[in-house]
Amino acid sequence: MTDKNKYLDCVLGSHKITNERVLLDKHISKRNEIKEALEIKYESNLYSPFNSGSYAKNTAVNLKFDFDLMAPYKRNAFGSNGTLKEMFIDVFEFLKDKYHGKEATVRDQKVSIGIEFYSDKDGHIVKIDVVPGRELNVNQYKDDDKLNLYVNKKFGTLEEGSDYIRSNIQAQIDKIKDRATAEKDSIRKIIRLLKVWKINKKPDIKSFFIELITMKAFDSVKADGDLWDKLKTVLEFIRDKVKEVSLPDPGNSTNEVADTLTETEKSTLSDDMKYMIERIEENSDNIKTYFKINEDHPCENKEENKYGVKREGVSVPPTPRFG
Amino acid sequence: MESRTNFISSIIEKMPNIIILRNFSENYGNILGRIKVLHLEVELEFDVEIQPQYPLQMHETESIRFLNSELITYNHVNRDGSICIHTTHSPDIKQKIEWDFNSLMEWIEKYYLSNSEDNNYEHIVVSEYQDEVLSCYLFTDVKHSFQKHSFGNFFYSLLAVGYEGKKEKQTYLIHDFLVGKVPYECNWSSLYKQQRNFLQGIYVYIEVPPVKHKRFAVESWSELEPFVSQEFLKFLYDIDKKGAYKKAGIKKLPLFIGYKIPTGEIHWQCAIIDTDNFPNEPLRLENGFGGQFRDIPINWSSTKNCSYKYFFGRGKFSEKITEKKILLIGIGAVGSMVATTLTRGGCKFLSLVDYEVKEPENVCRSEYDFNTGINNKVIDLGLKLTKISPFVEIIPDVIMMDAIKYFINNGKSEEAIKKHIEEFDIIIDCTTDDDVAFILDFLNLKNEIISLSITNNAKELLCSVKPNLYEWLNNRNNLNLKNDGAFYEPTGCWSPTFKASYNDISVLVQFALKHINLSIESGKPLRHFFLSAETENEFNIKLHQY
Repeated sequence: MTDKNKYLDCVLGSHKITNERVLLDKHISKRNEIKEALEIKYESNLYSPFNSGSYAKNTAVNLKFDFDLMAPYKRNAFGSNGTLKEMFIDVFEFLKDKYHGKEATVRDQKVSIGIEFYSDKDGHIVKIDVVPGRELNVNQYKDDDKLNLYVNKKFGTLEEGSDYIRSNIQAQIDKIKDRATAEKDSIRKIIRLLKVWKINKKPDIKSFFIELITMKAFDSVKADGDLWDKLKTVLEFIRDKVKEVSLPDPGNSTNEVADTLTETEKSTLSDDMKYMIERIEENSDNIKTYFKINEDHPCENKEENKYGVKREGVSVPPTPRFG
Repeated sequence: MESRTNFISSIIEKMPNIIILRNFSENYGNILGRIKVLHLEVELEFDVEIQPQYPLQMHETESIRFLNSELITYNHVNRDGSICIHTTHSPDIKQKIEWDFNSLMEWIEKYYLSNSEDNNYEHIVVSEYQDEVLSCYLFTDVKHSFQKHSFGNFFYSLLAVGYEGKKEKQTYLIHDFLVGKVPYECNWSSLYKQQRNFLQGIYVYIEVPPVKHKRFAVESWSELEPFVSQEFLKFLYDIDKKGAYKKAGIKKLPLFIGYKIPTGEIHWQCAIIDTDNFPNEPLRLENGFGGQFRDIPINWSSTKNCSYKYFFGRGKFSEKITEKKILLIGIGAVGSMVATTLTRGGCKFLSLVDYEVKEPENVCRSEYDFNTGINNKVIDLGLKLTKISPFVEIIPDVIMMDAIKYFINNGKSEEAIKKHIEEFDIIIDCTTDDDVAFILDFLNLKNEIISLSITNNAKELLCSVKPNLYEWLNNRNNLNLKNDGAFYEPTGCWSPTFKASYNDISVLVQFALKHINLSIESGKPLRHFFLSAETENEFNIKLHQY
């Protein structure tokens, strides 16, 4: 029998990003380096780059730091007739020229440019995504924070026929950060637990989707009780509502984030939740299958430590299996 | 006590719209009479024959017959003029007579008055010649579009000798049709294609069924004549003249007669030519010589369309499985059951990997046979699978996993191993070897991977899939499995094994395969699951999906 609440607390504790202080500092340092490089290169054509991603939203886990750097460009930064594609390619070429093959691998992604630095002497790998965006009209960014992002067609588009996403990234960050901070024992914990699950089991689901649907669940159904009760309520909400729920982008309500999953993917996610609840209710030990403890950072609490102890001492051999 | 004849007669007498024209009387156990049916302003006469079994059925046909040979051109009338009826079972004679006569009325309405045609095509009626030794020819699809009146040789071989009743029945397999000089292979698996000792027959493609009265195969060679060309008769004459078959001691020469059926497929009937007495003869025509058939009976032999579509017509796995290249690693109890089930389910490509040999004690709970002795499992099972299906390609491999383990750590072979394994679409691992699960996971393969194993006493069946295949298996202690530690340790045995019977294992394997097939068919991703067999109160299998 596993005490689900203690175990989940242990999972959260083991995934604190502060557990990876050194790696976190390396991410911050590299992010600052990239930021400075962009500011030097693009000078006044670039507004101040800012952090987006989970770290900025206070919902990060230490398995994947999710360090995004939003680079907001002025409307005419790439000429008055410059396209979003030209913006994306220009930034991509600049970063590739600076880092690729020297200290990192640089690749173009759906809306961002991924920079993965080579493993250092500690075995640490720093990954930062740079997201170029451009204000909608000259000087408008200062008033509305809105940006157009380029969508790299080879990875598919959000909407058929569209090649850009218009969004207020700062509003996205603020909305999630505000709630995650204000409701740190509910929304923040559940988002972080679902991220631990997603990173291990469903890496293709967007963190943004997880964040929004968790908030939607808390807004739609009464989720109280202990940590497991709250988590279960959210899992049930996703199981029952994922096929029909609307998740408007807080930065642009016309962007439907629920559409980032196909109908089949939603159906599969609903089944994921269904079976997860069934298995954990059937046998509390199954919670360990779904929510892994980061064994690099086992729980400090002695009572909880049994759930996250590194492989030391006597281990029980697995049940024999036959064929 | 009233006689059976009088009892039946009195029932029929009282039926409305039936007039007895000739009283019922017994003749060698059968009750015979003649009636007139007045139905919907139609008057039809039938001889009635009631067999001793009545009201019971005989070989799934009714033991009452209504005969009128003038009705032979109508649908659902047999060659002897008997009307084809099927009614519900009843042990009560009165009830049964009522139902059978009602069925006769229904036939009159549907097929006599309305001349209805059925949607389902039924093959033409061929009366198989009752020779001392019977034969049947199995054919399958061939990738060639035959032209009307084309003819030539085909090759066939003896597949097996069995019995039908007391008569020997020889089953033959058709291999190739020779069109000009080009052979067109029939779509059997390569093992059957490689068969030697071919015999030679002749074929003619006439495009339309060789029938009279719409569905009865012609009975004499002269009736077949309008269906064939003068060129074919000359071809036949030349064969007769050369006498090659006769010289080779071949008495019976099969003539395959092909035609198209409404589904667009070719169906073949087989007429046997007596090489001592060819059915054709030369004929002087105004503009030269020709040929004709003589008015002698055709000895029809039976044929069966054994193509994949019909062979697995009654049920098979999803095409998303059957069309895939499957690598099955580990063919012990579970693996051999998986192999035979996939084969009977229509799978076309199976590669079997196992280093072990089959021993007598394996037989009781696997798909192996005793009478093949000690043998490499991959060879033994491979042969068995090809005996089950003529459409499955089997590649036996004794060393694959040993070789992979040997080379996986040398830092150079990973890509080559990966490339080799990724030639398959689905990998099913039944080895129960955690090393194998680890390797399959470690290689990050694009294939669908399914790992199947059971626990002692077949209390559970575990199925692990991607992603995290190895990790889920490795954490199986969290699954609350019923770990019964007592193994089977026979005298002198060096390695104790698990306890479970064929029935214990196969019921779980079949459940698991059914679930996997349904998931794949519906396009849902496969999930880890385990089945738990509840045996304490009443037997039950529970599916636990992750």
